[in-house]
Amino acid sequence: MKHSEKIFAKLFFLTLGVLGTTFYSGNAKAKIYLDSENDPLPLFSLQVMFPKGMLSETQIQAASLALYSEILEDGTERLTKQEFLDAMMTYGASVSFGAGRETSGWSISFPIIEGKDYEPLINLVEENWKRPRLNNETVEKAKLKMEAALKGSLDSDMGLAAATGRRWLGINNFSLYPVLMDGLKGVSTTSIQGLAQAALAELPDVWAGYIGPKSHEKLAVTILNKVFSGYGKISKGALTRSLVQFAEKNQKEAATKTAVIVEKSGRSQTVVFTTGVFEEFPHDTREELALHFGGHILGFSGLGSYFGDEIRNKRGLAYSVSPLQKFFLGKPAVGFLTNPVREKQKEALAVISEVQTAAYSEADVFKVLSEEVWNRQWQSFKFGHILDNSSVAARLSLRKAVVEGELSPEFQRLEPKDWSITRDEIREYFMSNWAKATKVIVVVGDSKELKPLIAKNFPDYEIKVIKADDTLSEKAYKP
Amino acid sequence: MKNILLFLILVFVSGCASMGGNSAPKEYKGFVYKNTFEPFPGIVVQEYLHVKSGLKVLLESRPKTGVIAYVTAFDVGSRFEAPGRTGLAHLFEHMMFRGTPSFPEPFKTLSGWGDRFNAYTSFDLTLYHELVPKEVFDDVAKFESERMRQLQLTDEVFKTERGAVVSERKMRTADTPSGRLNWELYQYAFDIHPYQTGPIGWQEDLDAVSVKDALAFYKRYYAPNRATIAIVGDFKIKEALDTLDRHYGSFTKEDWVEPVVRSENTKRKDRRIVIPYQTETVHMADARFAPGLMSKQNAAEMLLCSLLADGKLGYLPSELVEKKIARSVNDSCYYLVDPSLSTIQLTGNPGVSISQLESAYEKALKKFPLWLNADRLEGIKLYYLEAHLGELREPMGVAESLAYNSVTAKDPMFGFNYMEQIKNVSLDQVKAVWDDWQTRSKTRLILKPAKKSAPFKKRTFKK
Repeated sequence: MKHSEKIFAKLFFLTLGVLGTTFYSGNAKAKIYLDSENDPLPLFSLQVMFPKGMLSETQIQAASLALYSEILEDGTERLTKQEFLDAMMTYGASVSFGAGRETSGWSISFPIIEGKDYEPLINLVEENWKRPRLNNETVEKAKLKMEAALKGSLDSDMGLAAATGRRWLGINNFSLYPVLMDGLKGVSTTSIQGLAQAALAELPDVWAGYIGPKSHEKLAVTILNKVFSGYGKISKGALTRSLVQFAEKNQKEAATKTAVIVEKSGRSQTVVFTTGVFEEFPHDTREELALHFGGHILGFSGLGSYFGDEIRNKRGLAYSVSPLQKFFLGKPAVGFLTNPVREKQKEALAVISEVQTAAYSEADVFKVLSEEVWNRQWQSFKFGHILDNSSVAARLSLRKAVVEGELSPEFQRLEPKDWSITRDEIREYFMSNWAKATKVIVVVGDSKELKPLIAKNFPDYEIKVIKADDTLSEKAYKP
Repeated sequence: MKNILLFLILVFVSGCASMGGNSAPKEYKGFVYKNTFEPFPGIVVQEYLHVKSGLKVLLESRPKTGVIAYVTAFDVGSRFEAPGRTGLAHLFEHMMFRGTPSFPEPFKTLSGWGDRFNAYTSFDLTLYHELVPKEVFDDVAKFESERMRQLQLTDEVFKTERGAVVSERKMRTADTPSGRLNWELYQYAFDIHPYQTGPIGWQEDLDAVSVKDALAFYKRYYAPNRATIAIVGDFKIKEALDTLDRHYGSFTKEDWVEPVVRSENTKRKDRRIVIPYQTETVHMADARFAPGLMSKQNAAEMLLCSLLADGKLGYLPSELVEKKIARSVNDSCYYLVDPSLSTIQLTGNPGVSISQLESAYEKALKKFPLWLNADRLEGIKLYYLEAHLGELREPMGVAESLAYNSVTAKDPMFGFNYMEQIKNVSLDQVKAVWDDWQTRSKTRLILKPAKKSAPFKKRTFKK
């Protein structure tokens, strides 16, 4: 029995007969690490990051956590959704919870009004978190909403391509599930208590971030102490280690190369998502710099980047060329998402294959880059760092990236003046990691047109065809 | 809760950027001081006019921030476009990233400055923005001045960039239900006003545009007297004026003849259009004509729209989403220079038919007055306040608001003063707008789930 199933079984036993009253208070040994950014504007903003995401060992676990956000929106045991919203409105306050892939987040924000008594607001959000309106009716409604949202996600080809690619990686290469239609069926009040509430309560530590006037930091502390009272002490200051533990053991040993065609007829664009997930986090700060600066040259410098230049500026093949988020389950994930028009799909797929080779498998881009481009990209990278640090929200996000395991504390401590890397180091980093990477390409369109083009341009990729509707079911991702 | 905003005290002013020794001269080089604004205690904006060229300049100094937010807004959007010439303002926005004498490859230049830049074209204006380290302030001013008057366009570059615009057009109008819904809504709601066609334009019009057309457009609309520059960041006022003088000082005004924009007859029979579209669920937009940006009714109109259909707080989501009829309900109310549309957008749940969605929607509308009360009105005002404060937090938020409102409302402070108007709206005013809203001409656009989407059909403009 898997660890999560054990927890579920244990909690199921403990909660029988007391549904609606059980509250998982939190792990008293856990700490809440509170990081703050002082901003003089009278705007209060507090977020809590739980190192527990939706991607889970079972579908029901993923769906339970995802639906928990809907349940929290439904008010409290005492207050209906409308009564809860009305009470929040008197403060102009917004409170929300959302489950991401690797972490989940809770947040509250409101304008600060002098003389206003915030105690009732604190009691309200405490009640919402500790005694949400969790019953059969709210669970069924949440399931219906999620089902509609999943079906609605099929309407956007860009979202469909990216979601399909990530689902493929999660299920096939890490045996971890996101929310799919199959998982929704088994969700119940019990599973939400056991797999969402309790899973969050049992976490060893959580992180919180506050932005607002220094004088109101104590209000942030009060909210954390009240709402998350089951957790242990609050420790103030920046946390310099990751709280997220990624599921290393699940990764497949042999890297795979798969091209997934999502069958959808009558499209005017041919959306392409291409990615490679490296085996491990960079070993040291030089490798980390190679990943970040190399990624900047390739895609993160926008339309001044290699991908932007080759696909859009030089050839006008697509409007959007977006680099991907840099990590998937703590491992570097490189690649991009683009939307060439269908009439140019033949040329676009050939160009995408070429640029992928030049960027990753041979990484010649870094060898042939002119001195002028190299220097410009260095300046761009360093200036970007200055700009990131000019905003309170971005500064906090940079520190949060360490807690989320996407930036090492050693790298974060480095000053831009100490950044040093050679072209050969970047090239070597991308070539060696790409060779061992798990690679996925997802293309949305007509499979009859696309199959021969993919076979020609990506000859060593195994081709799978999935109907758009089927991308929401587990069976589509099974070998 | 009565007018809680009256009790809002904007605290912690001492922490805000101050002008400390940063005086604003009355006349400096070619610039004449016009006004000082203070949208928030400690945030001080100086307005200048460059007399020779008619260029408007707004400056807010924020010492020690290390960055500059630089916004240039031109008083041209798709509002001035004639039938057969649609999409030109937006197409031209793309061309503005295609080369000047000193900056032959702007994408690369802007990327080199930290890659925080973008632009957009709306019905009423075109706006360019960059956030850069203060070290390159002079370079940015030089770049922006060159592309205002010395843009270089070749036929080859023009055709390549048009390819990207064609891709954007398909992304925005064809392949998503919300894109198609919005495109068709404006097509069917307007008969003669240029708002009929969205800024992205018709494909055949884009195909027909030549470099010569684009350059003629540039000369006419990208004149300094059609532009406002707003700069917020780490500089002193005199330093900024020196910089602007260096790069824009020689500019002169262009002759300007205001294009005739035909008024729409907003009192006509209701319209209901159903279009087959490749999707799983029903998508519906229900629009009423709304007053223009400068209407005194505007603030009450905006609040009504949020109270009705804000995705999280509004009445309709609580009636239709919670009762499992709709997947989402949202308001789409933003006010344009000329009367435009106040729209409620609904997406049905899977299996919900058009008639079920419409019937539930109509029933819910009838019950809205029972839900509306003074507490909810005062509550929603606080969310506006939160958004307003959020805008002030970043230099770019302030710079964009100043430039946008200077061009559209002819008043840089319009956006900031809007909060005051919001604050003063009473429940009776909202009720009066609600009564009026129900009597206005309606356009209802519905996307009906189908295996294949219907082709786009061009409506003929009435002479």
